[in-house]
Amino acid sequence: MKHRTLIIIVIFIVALVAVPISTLAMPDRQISEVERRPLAQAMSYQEYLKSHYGAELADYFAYLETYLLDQFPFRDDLRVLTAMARVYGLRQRDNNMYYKVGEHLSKLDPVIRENAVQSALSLFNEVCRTYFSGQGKHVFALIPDKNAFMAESGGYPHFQYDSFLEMVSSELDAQTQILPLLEYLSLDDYYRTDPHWDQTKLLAVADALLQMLGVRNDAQDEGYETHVHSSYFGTFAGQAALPVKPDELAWLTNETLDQAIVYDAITKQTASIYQTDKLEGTDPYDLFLGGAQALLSVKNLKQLNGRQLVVFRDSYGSSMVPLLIADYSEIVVVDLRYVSMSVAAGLVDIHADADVLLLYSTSVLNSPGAFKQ
Amino acid sequence: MVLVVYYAVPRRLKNAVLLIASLVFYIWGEPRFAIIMVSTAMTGYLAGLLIDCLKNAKGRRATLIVGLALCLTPLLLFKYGDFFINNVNTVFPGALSPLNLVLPIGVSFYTFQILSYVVDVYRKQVETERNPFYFLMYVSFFPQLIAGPIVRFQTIQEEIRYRHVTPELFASGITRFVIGLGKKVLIANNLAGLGANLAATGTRSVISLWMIAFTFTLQIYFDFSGYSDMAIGLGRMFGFHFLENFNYPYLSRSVSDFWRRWHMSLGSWFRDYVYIPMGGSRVSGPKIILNLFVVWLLTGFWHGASWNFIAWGLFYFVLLAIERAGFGRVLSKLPSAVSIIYTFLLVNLGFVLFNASSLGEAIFNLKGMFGFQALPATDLMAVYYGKSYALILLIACVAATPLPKWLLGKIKAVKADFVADLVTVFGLVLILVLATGSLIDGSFNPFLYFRF
Repeated sequence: MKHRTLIIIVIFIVALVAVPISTLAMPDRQISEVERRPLAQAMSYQEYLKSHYGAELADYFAYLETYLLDQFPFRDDLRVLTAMARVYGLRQRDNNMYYKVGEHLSKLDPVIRENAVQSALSLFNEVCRTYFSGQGKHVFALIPDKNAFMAESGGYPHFQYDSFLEMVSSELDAQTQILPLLEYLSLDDYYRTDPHWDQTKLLAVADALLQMLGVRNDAQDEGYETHVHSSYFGTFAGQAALPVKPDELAWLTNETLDQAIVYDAITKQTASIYQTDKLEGTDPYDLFLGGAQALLSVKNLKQLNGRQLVVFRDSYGSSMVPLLIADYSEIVVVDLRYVSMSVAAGLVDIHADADVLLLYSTSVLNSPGAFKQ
Repeated sequence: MVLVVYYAVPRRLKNAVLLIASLVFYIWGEPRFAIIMVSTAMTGYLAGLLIDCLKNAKGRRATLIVGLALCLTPLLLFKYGDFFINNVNTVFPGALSPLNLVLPIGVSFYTFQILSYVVDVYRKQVETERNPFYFLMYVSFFPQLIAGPIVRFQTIQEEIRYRHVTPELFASGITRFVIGLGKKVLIANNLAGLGANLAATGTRSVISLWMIAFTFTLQIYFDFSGYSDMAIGLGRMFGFHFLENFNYPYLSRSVSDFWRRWHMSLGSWFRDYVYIPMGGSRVSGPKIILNLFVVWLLTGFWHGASWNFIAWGLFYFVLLAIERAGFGRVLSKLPSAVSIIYTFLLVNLGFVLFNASSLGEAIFNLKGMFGFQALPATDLMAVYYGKSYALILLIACVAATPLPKWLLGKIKAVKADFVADLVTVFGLVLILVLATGSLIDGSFNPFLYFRF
């Protein structure tokens, strides 16, 4: 027998035996920290049928395949290896739409999906007309995603922020003032490994918003203290599976924020603005207002002017809302992706003359079917 | 796991292991249709036995016809039923209710295997199989069940009973399997990603349409030939020798040459069981044209119950008729680079028909490729993806030629067997690891030929 024949057979048999033994020997992982999702768990056919109504045997077999792939030994390492082979070996410009320029990661979003944007803007118009007929200010702030700062320089396709803004201007009701945020931000105001912005870099944006909402005439020092959580890997890090350095997750506190109370109108629970226990969870960015919550009421116990701000937001809003609280007695935070306005209005006392801030990133507006109509 | 059990059991149980594994494999994919596969196989088996028993020609012929009709029934019903119904309804709206049947996996492949067996028994070209389990194993043998190649019974009849796996054969099976896995997972799936990305941009330009066509042409080759390599490799690991299904088709110097190199098991099936029985080329000129027409109409139809597949088949009928009428001789005198490019371009255009979801879409794309749709010459996304996938496209182009094999041969020729062995082993390990990583990372990517 030739050496090559022997080596090939030995390697193949080792691989054939090692993989199932490793799979059996290693305990099943509940979640993938890097992908931020639960992993499929071992389940008998009977258990599967109980949890998947109407499922058939073929569905169960498909589930088993998912389970085996999810629990494959060294799954995370193999994903990184594959991503590196694609990007550094095959010179692909992105890995499953994720790309890296310098130390920053982002996700390709090359074209404006006009139907999605128009649908979202019509919803906003309808909400403002129906629920906010009073004298409050209505402001729409368009958050540029990271692509606006890094796509062009890296040679990646991306829509123009100004084109997006023009569409917003032409679709929104005239009484809603529009604040472009591009000029207040730079790439370094965002985390390198995550799509979100860094709260500590947003003071100028917060001032601009408050001025347009008419509660301030100029910037004020709120006396913030900065706290830092090191080794933060954002969502892009796991999804891109490319080697990156961790970020630092920082947040600002002061006496007002320490005393503020966050009421979750869905779960009827109260919490603080910053939920530091989330730093150890799958997504440390959930620190801000507890992450993806449908309907919150943030009460400022130090401000008794009775003024209410209703913020319609996506996840970017979680870190911005704390910076807006000083001048309001209450901020109602609504995520129209998870709750419709008719439901929200039934759960929280919303004033017709409240100020309204529509704070959305281009990436969420550009996602078809993102909002509950 | 099958391999471990297969080599752990005594020789007399090996076929039982393969049969059970094959049935489990099929049931794993689609439990409901296993009964159709098994009953069609048993119909073919019984037809073979009956034909063998009968002595008079009429009886044998009648049994052949009935056997073939019964074996074809599931294929006609599940694959073509709604096509006919929908076309009848186009002429007479609401005349018939659609069946809405799901296509059983691999039905086109195993039906053709069974048909070839029944016809071969009738022609006395193959010994009648008396063991139903052996016959069922031939039909359901998992390496090639769902996407070919179409294996004739005579190819493996002897090996079902007597086969011997040498270490060299087993290692060559591993090598072939891993190469096939790499072709499918590392090249075809990446190209599928490129095609999907281009299609998802929502914008079309002349360049993007050509890129989609070119990408699909490469993708389908690596997808299907990768699967055939895996089937051939697995076959060797179990001691079977399947015939080759591809022979560098994109180096063909004519369309006739292409069909001698592409999906060879299907081409030879139509040649032996349709074209030659109709008289083949030993008939008058008009009859030859008619024979070609029938064969290519059926070839197109075999690939899918849709007008674009029929158009694809007839496209080849026209090209082959033209080559047969004399253009083939012109092609043979041209420099090989010219005739290869000519063939490759036509194959590309053919795959535009093949890849479309409807005939209308195919016509739109073809017109767009030649500037008849008022589309821009290029677009941003096509340029981006062209750059992003340039290396994988280049690798695919090189891997579609014998160049890698030639290079390995050259290394050996300079008496560097050790280096050649090292390159081979390292290459196989790398492919295995990267393919595993890609499968874990990627979404489910079924083989294109599943749908046939």
